[in-house]
Amino acid sequence: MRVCRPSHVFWGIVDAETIVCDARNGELFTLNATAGLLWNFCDGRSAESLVTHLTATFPDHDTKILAADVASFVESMRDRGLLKADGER
Amino acid sequence: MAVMINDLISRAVVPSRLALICRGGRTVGYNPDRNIWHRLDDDVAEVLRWLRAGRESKGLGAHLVRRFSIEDGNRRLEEILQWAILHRLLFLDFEPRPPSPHAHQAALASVYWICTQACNLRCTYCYQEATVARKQELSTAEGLDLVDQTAEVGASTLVFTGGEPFSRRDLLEIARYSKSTGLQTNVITNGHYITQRRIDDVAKTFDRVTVSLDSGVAKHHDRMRGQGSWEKAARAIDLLLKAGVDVDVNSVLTRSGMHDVGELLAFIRDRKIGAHRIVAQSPMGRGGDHRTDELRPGELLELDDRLYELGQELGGKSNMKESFAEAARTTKGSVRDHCGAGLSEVSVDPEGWVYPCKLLQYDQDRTGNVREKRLSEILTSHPVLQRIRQPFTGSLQPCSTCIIKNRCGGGCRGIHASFTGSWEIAEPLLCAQLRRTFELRAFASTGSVPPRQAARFIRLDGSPAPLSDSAPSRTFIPLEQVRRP
Repeated sequence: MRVCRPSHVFWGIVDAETIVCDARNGELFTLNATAGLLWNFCDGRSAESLVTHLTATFPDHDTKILAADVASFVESMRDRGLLKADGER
Repeated sequence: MAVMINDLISRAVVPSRLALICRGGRTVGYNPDRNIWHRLDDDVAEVLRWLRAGRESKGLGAHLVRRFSIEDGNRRLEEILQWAILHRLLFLDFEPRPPSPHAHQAALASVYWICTQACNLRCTYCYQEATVARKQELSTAEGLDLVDQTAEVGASTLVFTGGEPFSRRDLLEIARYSKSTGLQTNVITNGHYITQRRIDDVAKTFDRVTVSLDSGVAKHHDRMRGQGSWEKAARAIDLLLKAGVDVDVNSVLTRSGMHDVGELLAFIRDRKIGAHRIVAQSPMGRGGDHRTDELRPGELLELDDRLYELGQELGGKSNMKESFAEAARTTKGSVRDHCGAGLSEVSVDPEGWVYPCKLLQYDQDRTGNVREKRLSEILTSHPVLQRIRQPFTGSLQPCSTCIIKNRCGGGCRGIHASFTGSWEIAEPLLCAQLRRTFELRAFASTGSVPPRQAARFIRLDGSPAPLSDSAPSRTFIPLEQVRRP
């Protein structure tokens, strides 16, 4: 699955934190450091490539755990409507 | 990005009390209800100014093109609106409720025990008016019991102060017991009794020692505190640091101390001092008899600017730019509505009477006595404490309408009371100083601090007057309001 950001969100770095705004309701979300890192790659790449990027950043961590983290991040963001699968409306 | 400009601008909500703080041609945007601020580019400041004024937003993009020579005004406006929303200087659709105040989430953290009225010094501004021990001071057994009572109420820290705490012969015994119970055990001292012979005992007993040092020049410190006192304080600091003790320094700044405050900062810079707290002399205790030693109003208002400039010149740890910026950053986004008196701290006087704070020992602030009641009972039931725990910033004037109320939390009510006689009445000069302090810190935490353009004032007779000239018989009016012939 490829993930990308829907058109109703905009984001930026504020005081070293990634802030995402859902323009549908004006709600702001502050991402933690790992989620902020992943967010940068959510431009239509596959979830597998997110794992690859995370593994490169944290080479000492177990790949299975990192893959689970990525899955959890993607699911959580999709539930909130802040990410979508490529082609999804 | 598909979030369209027309949509954003029609839904953008300006926080009800958004402030634009200008200094030296630069602007910081401040959302007071959330205690959040950011340095603004000129066009961002212009957009916020425009929206805050409630002007028609239709022509704003074109205005940006004219004013800032931008090619695509609407595109830039879209970027600005998104930036301001992400930085919480604008909101979409509605203004969220502000976060809960920080102070009211805190439980009692510190008990300050003014363990004796005795002191070997006669400092001209002593808030405690310390001289000799009172007849009915708490005994050793009662001091040990106070340690138990402090631990019982869940406080994390017991601070021994005075007077001079080391005037008590049983200080180390009680402090050792305090430490053995797990309490963080600190002492505030003039340093005279911390000698080579005693340093090991002191180092083993206290987690943190705060030494009072008012100047980097011995004769200026000694003029306020007594002959030879600077040398003993400085020696104590060096002995403590060498023994590996965490050392803070408290400095009371007088009018004469302003001249050599650079030497004081250099002294701190050259040592591994934890916190350095500088407070201006106020009319507390004996200070009330030495009002001419207080900083003039203009000097007080300029104090932080002066400290910042000196810090820049000195560099190193005394670099006030970093300390000002850090102090601002660590509290950014958290809302304060209280100074902590009676809430996160209380004080116990030499005879066991409990007060909301060591700087609020007026008759009307006295609560119960730890000889008669447990501290836990006094804290939960005494009306004085229940009253002072109410949020200052919602009830007191001028806090309720002040732009920085969620930042300063009302300021030090003990210092306010020293001028006005009651913690419920603010001294306007201190409020003005707090606002200036915030201005400096807000700029310091977002980059360099632009030089302040001196306010130009003239007397009614037309002659120029410096801002620091505050003789009460004179009235000043802003130059811009004078109609010229």
